Amino acid sequence: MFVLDTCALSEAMSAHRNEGFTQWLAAQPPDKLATTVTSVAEISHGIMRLTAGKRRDGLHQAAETLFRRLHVHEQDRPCAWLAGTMIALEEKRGRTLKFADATIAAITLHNGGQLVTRDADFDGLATHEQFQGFLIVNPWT
Amino acid sequence: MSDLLIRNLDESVKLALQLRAERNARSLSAEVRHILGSVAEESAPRNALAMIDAIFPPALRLTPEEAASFDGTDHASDAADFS
Repeated sequence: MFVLDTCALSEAMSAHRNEGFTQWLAAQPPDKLATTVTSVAEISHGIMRLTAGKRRDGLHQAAETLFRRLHVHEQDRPCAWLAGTMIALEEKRGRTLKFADATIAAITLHNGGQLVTRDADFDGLATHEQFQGFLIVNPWT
Repeated sequence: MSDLLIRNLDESVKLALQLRAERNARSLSAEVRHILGSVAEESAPRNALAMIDAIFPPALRLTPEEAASFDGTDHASDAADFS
């Protein structure tokens, strides 16, 4: 299962999509894609901060449809603990893993998925022994 | 499995389907299931790109500025409050 990070979702919704990302998307069966509740919140933030009106309503509806089609992984208690652990271990190495990113990484790892992202903030995670199973896919060109 | 009842079906349509079912050595229900199944398969999005394009028509696609703001790249206060 591929877990779409917020940047992958917004890329998918973009008028000018990255070529490599578009080709990758075209090669995936729809039922292999997932995302996380964190990205639902970030996309909701992105849409609801727009000026109220027809465009915002349309985007709101389309996003709801998209999230009904994708598997949306929840954040349960083990994931939440894992997220905090990730932030702490990255901190010890002098790196900052944002709270939202940590929850996305933890939910992805907990569900055995691969995170689709171009965000380099995730790169350090797999260097920790206990997070070696955290896999990233970056199809951007 | 669920059921679908179709009211007001034209008699000639039903007869044509019955003949088609006989030709294919299937019951009328099995024939209609087969037809509906193949049409549903054709109209389902084949890949994730087709699915997303069907949900987001061109007018709804994000501008580069919107997409950047969706990424969380300009979110001011993401840090946890432990510091």
